[in-house]
Amino acid sequence: MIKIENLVKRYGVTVALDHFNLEVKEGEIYGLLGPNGSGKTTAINCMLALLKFDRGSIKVMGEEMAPDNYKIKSQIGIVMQDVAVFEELNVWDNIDYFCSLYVKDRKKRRRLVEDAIRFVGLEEYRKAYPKKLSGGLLRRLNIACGIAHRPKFIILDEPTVAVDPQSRNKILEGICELNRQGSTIVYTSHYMEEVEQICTRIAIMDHGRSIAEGTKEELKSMIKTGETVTIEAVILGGNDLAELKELPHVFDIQYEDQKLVVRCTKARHNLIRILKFLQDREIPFGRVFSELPTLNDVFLEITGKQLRD
Amino acid sequence: MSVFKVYMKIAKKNIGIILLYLVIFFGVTVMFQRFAGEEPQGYTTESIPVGIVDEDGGTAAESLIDYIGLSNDVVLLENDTESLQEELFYRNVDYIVRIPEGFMEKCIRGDESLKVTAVPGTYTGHYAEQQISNFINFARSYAAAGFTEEEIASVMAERTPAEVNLLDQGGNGGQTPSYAFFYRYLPYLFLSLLCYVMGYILMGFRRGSLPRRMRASAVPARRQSLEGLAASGVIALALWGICTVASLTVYGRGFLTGGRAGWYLLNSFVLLIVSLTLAYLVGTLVKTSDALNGSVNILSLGMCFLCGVFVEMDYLSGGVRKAAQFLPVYWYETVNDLLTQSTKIAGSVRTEVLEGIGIQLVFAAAFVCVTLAVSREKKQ
Repeated sequence: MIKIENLVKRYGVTVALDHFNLEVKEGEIYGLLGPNGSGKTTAINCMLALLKFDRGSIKVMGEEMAPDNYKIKSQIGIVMQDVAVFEELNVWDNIDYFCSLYVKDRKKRRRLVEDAIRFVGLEEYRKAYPKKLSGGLLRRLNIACGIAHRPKFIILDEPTVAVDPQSRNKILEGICELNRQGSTIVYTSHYMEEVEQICTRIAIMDHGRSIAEGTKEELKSMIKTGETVTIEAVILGGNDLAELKELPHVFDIQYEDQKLVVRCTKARHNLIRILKFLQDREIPFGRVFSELPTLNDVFLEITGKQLRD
Repeated sequence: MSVFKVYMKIAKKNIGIILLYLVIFFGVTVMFQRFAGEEPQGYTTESIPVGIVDEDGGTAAESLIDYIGLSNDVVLLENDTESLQEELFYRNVDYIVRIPEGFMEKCIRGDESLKVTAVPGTYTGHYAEQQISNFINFARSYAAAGFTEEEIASVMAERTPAEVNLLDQGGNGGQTPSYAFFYRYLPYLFLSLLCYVMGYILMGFRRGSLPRRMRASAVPARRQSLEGLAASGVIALALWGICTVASLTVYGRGFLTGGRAGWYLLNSFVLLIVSLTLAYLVGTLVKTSDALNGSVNILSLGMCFLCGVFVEMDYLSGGVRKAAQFLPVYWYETVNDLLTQSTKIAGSVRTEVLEGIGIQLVFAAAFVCVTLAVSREKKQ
């Protein structure tokens, strides 16, 4: 569906995209995950031919993407990071307008607009103006404006920023539904949970580069962390920490404000071993929980920093 | 025609503002027309009551009384100080002249002045005084030439007031035609309304990521621009149409028979183009409604005050007029004044009118260039 090779984009001396590569296959929900400023939006702007790039190539549906390639553009739906709608038009008119940029047939368009309104759950707000909508409803309108013309390829650039959990779930369900209906989706976000939840393949971006790519399982298997054990309200001495680090499969320990975080490689009974260690030394402790690795752990291990830094 | 339709929809949302501006415009026009109607349009002679105490009774004295009586009401009075004071006090006369005995010898052949008394604080006495001075000066000249008293009286009686024929270039008998007021105030309406409405629409199209979403769409950018231009043209033409129909309806025959209606319409149409291009520039620069309101007020009121819309150009100082030459409305008003003052638009007047219109078009072209430069800069 889309193939980007060695894309380089510079803003003066700042390199926004540094030999960026990407390949999205038809029918995928492809996640672009990275912190703010990692180059996600720049990559999207280049895909849409909204930005000129310095080097590399972008092919969409087998054709070279260019500002005047309206045949390709007519197959793309875009949902911007900022809500991009007319405050002067009501919900119906907004969706109808953006749909009319792709679909000329008025009858067909009417049907598509109605479908889009139903799809995002704005049936009760057809005549409402954007200023009267809550943040979540506004985001849903933003999505409806981008997908009403039923594009084959949809780009969603952080569509859930500043959205309440209920609207977020609705939006994520909607994206999966669009995918089931046949659309290929590129989804950018800095919320790893969202990307994990809906994306079939994921690229992790940092400093304009794709630092890791694959399914979430593949990404997680790339790293050393197999399990993270967290123990709260525990008081440890220097010797305890040193001995703890010597336990089998433990490779990293963090201890701060009576909170112990132990990272272990993939192995059985990691949690039992750590708890036995504390019991043997009669060290009291509070809440204990164990987590499987997240995309944040992947990002942390590859870049040495948190995804949300 | 998606973009065109959205332009019209957003313009329709401003219908309240459009009506408000139209009401203000027509209100201001009617108000100024009425004020202008109350102003004295020319100089008229005034007849005042002049009291005369004739102690001479000779031919020359009678000649003076007749001369004063040509343009004033003469009241012959007795030489009684108390009754003279009463006449002045009750304003039966504004001015009293005493013609002394031996008037011919003392005042015409000699240097003695006539004794006069006027109501304090009035200017009307000056008219009578001026007429008396005229008489004495002429009479002295004739006397010096050897004329007798009777001959002087006869010559002075034959003198008739000079007639002045007013050259009526405008064909309105020296009056400003009503439609001239309408077209004089038109810049305020065009500038404020077009800048506001177009600014509002363009601001909407530039909000947030909308330009990116539009550029990413399947409608070519050139087509979007053309549709936007077409919509702006329709809005501007509708405004011009309303004003033209209003001027034809209200001023009808007087406007059409003057032979200058076409020129007024052409000048107003060129002003419309200038206003539209300026509106595009404003719409490209402003980001918020407050900024738009402020810009519209500064531009429309500023240009109207500086360029002879609200204050006649004759009342503006040389410095202001020089500065105003750098504004398009000045040239619109210059053309309007020429049209008001001339019966026929031919020869040098025609050249001046065409020059004024041409300069306005140059301003329009300049605004287009600046707008394109600003847009390009913003895109980059």
